[in-house]
Parts: sequence; C-alpha cells; structure tokens
Amino acid sequence: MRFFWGKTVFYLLLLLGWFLLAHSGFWPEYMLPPPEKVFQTLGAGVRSGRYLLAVFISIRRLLLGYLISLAIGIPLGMVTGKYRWLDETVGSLLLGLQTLPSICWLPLSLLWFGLSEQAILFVVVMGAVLSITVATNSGVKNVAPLYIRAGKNMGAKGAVLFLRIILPAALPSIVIGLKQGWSFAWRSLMAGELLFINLGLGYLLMMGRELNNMAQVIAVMFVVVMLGLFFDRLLFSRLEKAVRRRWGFDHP
Amino acid sequence: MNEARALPCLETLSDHDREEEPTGAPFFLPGEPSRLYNRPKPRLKLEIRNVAKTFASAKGLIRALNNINLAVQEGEFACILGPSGCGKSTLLHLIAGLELPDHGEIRLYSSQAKKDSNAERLIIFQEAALFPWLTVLENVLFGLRLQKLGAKESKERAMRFLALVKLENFANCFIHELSGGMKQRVALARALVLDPELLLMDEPFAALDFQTREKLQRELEEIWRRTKKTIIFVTHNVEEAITLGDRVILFSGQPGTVKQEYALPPSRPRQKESPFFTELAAEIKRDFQVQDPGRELVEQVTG
Repeated sequence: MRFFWGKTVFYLLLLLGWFLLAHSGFWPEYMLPPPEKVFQTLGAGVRSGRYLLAVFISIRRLLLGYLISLAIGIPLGMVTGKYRWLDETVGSLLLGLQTLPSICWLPLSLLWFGLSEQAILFVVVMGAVLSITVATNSGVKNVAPLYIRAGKNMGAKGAVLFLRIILPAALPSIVIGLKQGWSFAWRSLMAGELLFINLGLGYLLMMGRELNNMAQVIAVMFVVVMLGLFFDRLLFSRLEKAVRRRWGFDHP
Repeated sequence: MNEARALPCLETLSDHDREEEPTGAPFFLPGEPSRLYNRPKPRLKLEIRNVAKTFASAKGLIRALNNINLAVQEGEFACILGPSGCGKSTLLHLIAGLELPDHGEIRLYSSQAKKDSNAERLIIFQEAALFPWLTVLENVLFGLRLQKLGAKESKERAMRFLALVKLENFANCFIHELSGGMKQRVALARALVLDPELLLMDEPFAALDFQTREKLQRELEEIWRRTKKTIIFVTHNVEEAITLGDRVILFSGQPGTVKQEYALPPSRPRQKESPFFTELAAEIKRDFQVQDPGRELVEQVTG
C-alpha cells in the first residue's frame, strides 16, 4: 500500500472542501448537497432495500449480458483469428462496428424488442461482445509461430493444436479483452438504464433527477463507482495479473 | 568418408560389454529395454537425396538449399556447421517435416515397427519454445498426453526424463522461473520423453553463456551416450561441432550446399587443448576461408 497516508489525506481534504463549499451557501442544496446529506440518503436507501434491489437487478442484467457476450465473442474471435477469409470479411465488419458507441444500438433495440429486458440486454451485449471478439482475434493471430511449430512437431494438429497451444498462448490478450468487455458492458448498461427507465441503478439515478434530489443522484453515482471498482480490482485486475505472472510477462 | 569406420555408438553390445560399461547404470527406454543391447550392425537412419528448397522473399526467389545429399547412420551424432543464413536451419525444418522440400527426398528409416505418433523427428529450437502456461512437468508431459498413454505411466516417464536432465526438483516450476540453460534441458527432456527416432537440434546452446554452454555440451554428450539417439546438431560454432560430433558437415551458404565432411575419431570426451582438436579447428576454418572469405563463421573462430 504505497502512498496510503497520502491518499487518505487527499480524500479527507476533498471531503472537507466539499463540506465547506456546500455549507458556504454559494450554491443551493439541490445543486450541491453537503456530504453528510448524501451519506444519509445512501444509508436510508440501503436500509430500505431499494438500492440493494437496484444493484441486484443491474448486476443480473450485466452478468447475463456479459455471459452472452463471452459465448458469442470468444468463438467469433477464434474463428476470425484462425481463418483469413473470415477475418477479411466478418472481422472487418466487427472492427468497423466497434467504433459505434453501444448506446447507439438502443433505438434499434427498442424497435426490435420493445420496452423489454431483451432490449437492454441487447445493448449490453453489443457493448461487450465486440471488444471481446477483437481481443480474442488479435490474440489468436499473434501467437508466436515458434509455439505452433513446436506443438506441430510434437504431433499436435487441428483442434488439439488450437485448444492446447493457440488458445492458451492467446490468453493474455483474451484477458485484456475480457476486462475491456466488462467495462464496456457496464457503461452500456448504465446508459441503457438511464434512457430506458426500468428499475436498476440507472433508474434510481434518473429518479433522483426527476425528484430534484441531488443527494440521491450523488449517492447512486457513488454506488456505481464502488461497484465498478469492486469488479475491476477484485476480479479483472487480479485475473490479468495472475495470467501475466504465469505467462512470464512481468519477469525480465 | 564415414562408412569405413565403425562409429562407437553403433557397435553391437553383448551382455559382457554391459558389465564393463564404465559409466554406471544403463539407461532403459521404457517399454523396450532390449533395444539398447540387441542393436544390429550400423545402419542407415536418414537419407537426404538431391534436396533443394527455395523461398520467396521481397527481393525475389532465394535458393536456401541446393542439391543436398546426406546420409546419417543410426546412433550417429552429426554436426552441421555453417554461418548464419546458410540454410542449415531450413534443412533441419525439412527433416523435421515442418516444411516440404521443392525437390528431392528425405527418407527416415524407422527402427520401431509401430509408431502411432507423429513425434518421431523432434526439433529443439534455439529459444527453448517451452509453453509458459504449463509447468516444467506439464511441458514434458505435453507430447505424451497426445499419445494414448495412462496418466500415471506418463507422469512416471516424464519424471524419469526430468531426472535425466537433472531437473526433477523443478518439476512444478514455471518456465519463466528457469535459467536459459535449464530451459534447454527441459526442451531436451520434452523431446527425449517421446523417444524420437531423430533428435534435431537447431543451435540449441547459441544463446547461452560460455560456461553454461560447455556444461550442457557435456551433459548432452552423456545423454546421447546413454540413450543412443541419432542426433543432428546444427551450430555455427566450430569448437562446439568438434566437441560433439561423430562427423562435422560443413555448409556454405547462398545457396546452402555441403562443402566438406570431417569424420572424427570415436574417443570422447574431446579435449579442447589437444593437438587434434586445435588442428582440426584450424583446418575447418581454413577450408571455410578458401570457399567464403570473410564470413561470419571465421569471426566466430578467431574471436
């Protein structure tokens, strides 16, 4: 934990600044509520179970969308990475679509699926699937030829070569795609929930706006940040680090 | 040139000979313990006839190998010596079956009746080509798992070959935890465990420091003596070729051709300080200079 005290002091000063600014009366409370009010709202929200329900609904959508993205993205990345003609055709299309912010899929999704869970899942999947596909694709394409030669030399070919050499060799790159896919899924979900109000954290956030309740807006934003940090630090960063260590990338 | 003399490793050993083997325990290849002692008279292992290979490059076609003819006897340690880019690695890839020749043929005479694997011509690369996502033991097990062999039997076998390269205590290490020399030893175990007909070594010690290289040369010589494998060893280092080879095959490049062969006496280990060694090194160096003055090989010898 480097800079532990430095960090603590920084965040305490930030809170203090916020506190002083909010109580200076310079801005009205509906624009800048004091921190204690925000934490109070947060506490009340958590106690009433409303926040937990929203978190549960959002995470469920996220997980479901992410799993669908994995199930589509990894195989798609593998086949486009393996077959040149697929890469030139389907791969180029996917690369082009990746430039489209996933929320741009919402109108299409609403027309296809109506105001339903499927519509929001579709947006989440479109957010995550492309980066997972592209990372898997480049990982498969960039496997060191030496590994493939060594594997073939020992008698590996076809599916065995692919599953036992190409896939594990591509894993560091795939993990980066998984991490990026997760964060894109998370962003897409929040954007979708804001625009398409149906429970979830985005809905709580929008409710705060409707009720002119800035404390709730900030409290929900805080929850969103905490959840993002939680998954990134506890899951994906650890996974990435473990893979990098095992593959020997972090050793000179 | 080399047909006339009997290679030491190819002599038929009787049980009586085994008693007098000076170097300790005989090395049994699992499953076929009789192979070691009922060896027939010297016989052909590999035959390369009129092989040519051309590559397409940005500058047009490059003839990497031109009309190569070579025969390797069973159990022989053949060193192919030549400068970088002379096509010797290409030849090794052709022998390994990783690439196909444009012309000519390569024949391998298998000593085993049944061979259900493709792993009969195994190559050891300059960089060990070990899989970093597997442990040392799992790397050695890799080829065995592709064959139909019981898990327990495979593991025992892998451990035995790790012991052969003195790495049995590192079985559960990851590859990045090993030194360069240890990696090459794992690569050697990973190849030997599959009991290949031919062991092809592509400058395996070139990236190692001087002391490690000498140590590994001695170990390889010992392993070769115990396993009686046929080895084709590619190097650009004259001393390495003379230290290890029963025969040194000098290549010259662009296009790669066999320039000269040198048969070496069976006595081992070879002493670098002996007159024989220094004279032969000088001779090879001279032969090379005559053909290709100022090439990299010469620098390697003098430097």
